[in-house]
Amino acid sequence: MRTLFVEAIEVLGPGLPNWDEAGAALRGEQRYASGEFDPGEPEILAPNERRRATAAIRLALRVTEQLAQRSSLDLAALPSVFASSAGDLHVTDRVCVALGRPGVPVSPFHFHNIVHNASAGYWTIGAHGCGGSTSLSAGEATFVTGLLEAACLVLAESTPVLFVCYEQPAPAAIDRHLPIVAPFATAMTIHPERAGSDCFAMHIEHVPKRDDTGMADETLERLRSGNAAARALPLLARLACRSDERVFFSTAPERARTSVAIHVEPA
Amino acid sequence: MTPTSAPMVPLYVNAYTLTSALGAGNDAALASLRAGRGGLREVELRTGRKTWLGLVDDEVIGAPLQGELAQFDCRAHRMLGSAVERDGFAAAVADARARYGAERVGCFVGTIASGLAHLEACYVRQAPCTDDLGSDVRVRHTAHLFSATEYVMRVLGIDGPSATISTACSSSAKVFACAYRHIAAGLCDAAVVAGIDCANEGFIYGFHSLGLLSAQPCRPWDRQRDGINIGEAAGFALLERVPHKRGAIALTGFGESSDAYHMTAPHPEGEGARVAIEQALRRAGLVPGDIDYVNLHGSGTPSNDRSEDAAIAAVFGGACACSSTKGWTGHTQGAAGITEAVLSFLSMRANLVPATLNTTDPDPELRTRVALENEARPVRRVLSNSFGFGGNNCALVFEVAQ
Repeated sequence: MRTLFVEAIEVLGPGLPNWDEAGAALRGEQRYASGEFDPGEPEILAPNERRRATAAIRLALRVTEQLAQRSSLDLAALPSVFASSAGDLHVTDRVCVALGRPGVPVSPFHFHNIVHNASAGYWTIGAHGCGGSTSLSAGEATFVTGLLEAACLVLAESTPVLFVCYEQPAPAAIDRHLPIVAPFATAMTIHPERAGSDCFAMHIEHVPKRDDTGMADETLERLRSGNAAARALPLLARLACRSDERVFFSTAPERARTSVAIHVEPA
Repeated sequence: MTPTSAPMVPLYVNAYTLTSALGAGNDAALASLRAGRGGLREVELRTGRKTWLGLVDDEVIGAPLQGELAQFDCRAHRMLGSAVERDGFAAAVADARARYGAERVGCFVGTIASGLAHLEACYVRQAPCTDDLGSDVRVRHTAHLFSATEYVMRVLGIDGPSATISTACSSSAKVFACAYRHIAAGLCDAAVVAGIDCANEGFIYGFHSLGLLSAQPCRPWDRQRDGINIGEAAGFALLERVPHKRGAIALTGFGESSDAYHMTAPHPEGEGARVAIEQALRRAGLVPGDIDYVNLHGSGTPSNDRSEDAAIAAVFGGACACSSTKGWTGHTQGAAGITEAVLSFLSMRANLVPATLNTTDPDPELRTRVALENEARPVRRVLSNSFGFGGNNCALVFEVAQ
């Protein structure tokens, strides 16, 4: 695939409040400590929506807002790709619980948010973004799949693209059957040309199946392997270290015979 | 920076199939259209309320999944598994696999809910103690959105780039755009695109909670229209760079946009829809007058039809044959894009503009004339619209290749 450029990047999760502060842990200069986590309140939501926004929506919107601060681009003007493996299982849980109650009282508010593109919808509404937006899932390979769709979009449209990937643990009833260890989100602007103050060139290729690149730190590795969005961590670590060592990602589905290899270099 | 939407290299639809309330496979659907036989039926819900649903017959859906795919068993995946064998579709994919290699055939499935019905049933069964859903819950292989794509790939033995695209009711229109991008970028040589959704209770009662579920057969564009009927469908198309026969159907344009207006209500002037339609025409290198038939999103809610009418009137000025096929199939939700793409292919095959079934008294406030009866006329170029919650819009242009 043609070389593309990461114009700006952000991260959000326990112990990783933003790209600048996450750097020390990603470079291994400081031991990663997860701690309490609250993604905060998205500013682009109207006050009534803000009150009712679920954890998954807040996570996706906050990391996007952080990226908007960091990027030199107007994110609202960009087409977007929102990737999440499981989506918003809190909403699924609420709707399913209502199905078992007398009168089947499915809440219109929960139903509003049941679509996988709810976060993307709130982003486009709040930011007044009229570009095309794709929301997808590819199970454990969701991060690299979303990145590839974003890269294809950059090439097809010759425009920078907003890519957001997030994953929020499910409520207890579902978590038992689909465990996600902690919330995690990352967002980046992918550009067809060299752009931005901390710009990286990104080279993407398909290779025969390889083991996924892991994280040296045990706690970060637990996050990486227990959250589909946190599969991004090894790539983020390379960016933080300004290392051009290749990172390998399994592609979907589980039995696929190819991996995606990515290496980055400061541009 | 605005997307270029430069004219695109066409992709050819070398195989396709649809299973919906109109029957199992393309011939059944076309026979139903010709006979004026819609697929909606009246159903009483658990609350005593009545609605109309576009259900696929149980015998068409088939038996529980067996063997190593048994863990995927749920209504949605059974429907995918039986539908993919019809109209020679699986065989055409096997040929593509032999030509290009399994890892060069991509797979993009559009769905809102995948096998959510399985999880719904577990919650209802355990109510009111839903903290423990039981030990037989298979979330990852049923309700998880990607399970639909994974199941299709296992059945077809393909291994290329893949994703479940889930953008509400535009999901299985967007899959055409995703497949195009992946083929254009050289990541695969062919792609299976699909759509699947069932009449899940969460969506039936959810649409009811928003006041959007009609108790009548839905009547898009009618003065009396008052909401949707939920339908279910599984549809597939195989996209390649070259046609396999003369007169093949080609995807020649697509447009994507966001309303940036409201989560569940469309932009009142249809701005997002208009942008998607214009982008699709521009990519196809066509002007509005080139389109022979517009398959409307036409869901039958007062606001959706009003919004789409504004967009169609702005682009076409009321001068194009249009209809909504939701009155035949119901609103097949995440499968609506592929359902209406295949109905558009059948329209081209038969040179038939299907009626807007159930609609008898067109809303005089809407400027777009819709076909009230089946119309025999040449159909070589079709625009198909799909719009969804979150303001997600996708318009597709298909043409009979020269």
